Amino acid sequence: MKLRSKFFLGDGLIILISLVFIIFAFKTYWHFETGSVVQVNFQGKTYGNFSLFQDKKISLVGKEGESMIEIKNGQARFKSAPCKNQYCVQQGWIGFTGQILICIPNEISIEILGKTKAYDSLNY
Amino acid sequence: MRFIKFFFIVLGFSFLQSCSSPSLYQSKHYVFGTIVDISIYGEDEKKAEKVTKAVLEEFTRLHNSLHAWEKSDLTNLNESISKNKSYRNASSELIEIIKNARELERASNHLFNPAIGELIDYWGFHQDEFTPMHPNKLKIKALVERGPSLDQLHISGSTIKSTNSHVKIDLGGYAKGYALDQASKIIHTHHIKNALINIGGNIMAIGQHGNKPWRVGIQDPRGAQAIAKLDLLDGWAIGTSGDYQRYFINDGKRYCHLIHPFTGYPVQGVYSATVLIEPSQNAGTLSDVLSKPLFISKKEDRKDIAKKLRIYHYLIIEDKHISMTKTMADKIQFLNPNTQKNNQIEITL
Repeated sequence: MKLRSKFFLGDGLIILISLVFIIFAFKTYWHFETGSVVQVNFQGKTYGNFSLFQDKKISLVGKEGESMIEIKNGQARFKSAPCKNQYCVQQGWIGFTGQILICIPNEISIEILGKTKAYDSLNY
Repeated sequence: MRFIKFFFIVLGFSFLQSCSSPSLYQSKHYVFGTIVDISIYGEDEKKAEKVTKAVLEEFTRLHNSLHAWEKSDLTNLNESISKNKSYRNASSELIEIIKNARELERASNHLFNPAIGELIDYWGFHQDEFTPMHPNKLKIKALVERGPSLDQLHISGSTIKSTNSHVKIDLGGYAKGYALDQASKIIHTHHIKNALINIGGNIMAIGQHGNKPWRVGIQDPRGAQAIAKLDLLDGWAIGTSGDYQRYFINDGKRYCHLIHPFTGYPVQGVYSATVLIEPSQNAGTLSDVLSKPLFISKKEDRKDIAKKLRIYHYLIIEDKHISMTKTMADKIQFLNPNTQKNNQIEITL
């Protein structure tokens, strides 16, 4: 018997299948990717998509008054809101894909976008 | 060998497909004092836009007809009741809704009670923006003792009369779900095969998202992201009652908008109750209504009430504790492994 150190087709297949599996597993199970873009929705329309890798303040004047959105260090938040309850401000910073902050009185929502979306819509 | 090649080509294509952008039409609107999110898949934009518009018109009509504190057919009815007068010429739709809500109130052992508008109003939740208040024990006791129930309504033809003038109907736990059923009808009559409608968190799926089912995230009641996700199949609906959407905090205590009809106080301790409803004519309505009795009922009564109301799939989140039915556990996937580590997970049958 002679052992040959030849690279068999089967070896290649195993490597390929493993790679495919790794990519598949990564795509399926890796949900907490940090987003790179924040989408700002204002009065039913997309106001704009902004990179999270910048320091920026966006002021939107809606029915209730001025809402201030702040982008910093790869995250976004409502810095100030004109409403009484201040839910959106209290929720603080968001930066992971799929996270969303909503200001109903002033009709603004900000959502972190990534390459893959973990779901189509959110039940709350 | 040829088979292997074929296998890889197919695999390659499936990856390519998952990267290409599908024809998804999405729009967000503000109706019912909340966000309405409509997704339509696989239709040309014009048609999708037209159907979305038709659905929104229906929602606006319902908003104007069923609103609990802005002038509507419902507030007119409530006014007649409070004056001990008969309300004539009620629309057949309103009568149908009240009859159906009454059946659900009975079936839920009156835990779902849309007649307690006076209580909800007292707690200050009949405003778009409410102020924290200090409840007066005696006042609450008096309001509970008035014992309003839809059972006290007498309906003959298009006339509604109440034997209790303290019935004040609030369809806050019904209207959004009913609107989902209406939207589903409109979407079907326009021959749209794939759509996902979300009214303030209550979601109904029609068809699917391309070759995959519609996928829905369930909000973490104490976070800004989803805690879990699940596939919402054709005709299914999902709804959640939570203490994190409409609430105020006074002296460190959280008061949410879900009031226990027997005690008169907001339910405390439960973060959220989610129900998943199988396809039926009124799956949307049930997804809105049935989370309430589960949220409100005592822990030990949950199983019985779920059985009585035929809620097979539910998920309840409390402090460090998550309980769900086996069938729900099979369907959902937690998004963060720590969720299972940090919570005691209880599977019920």
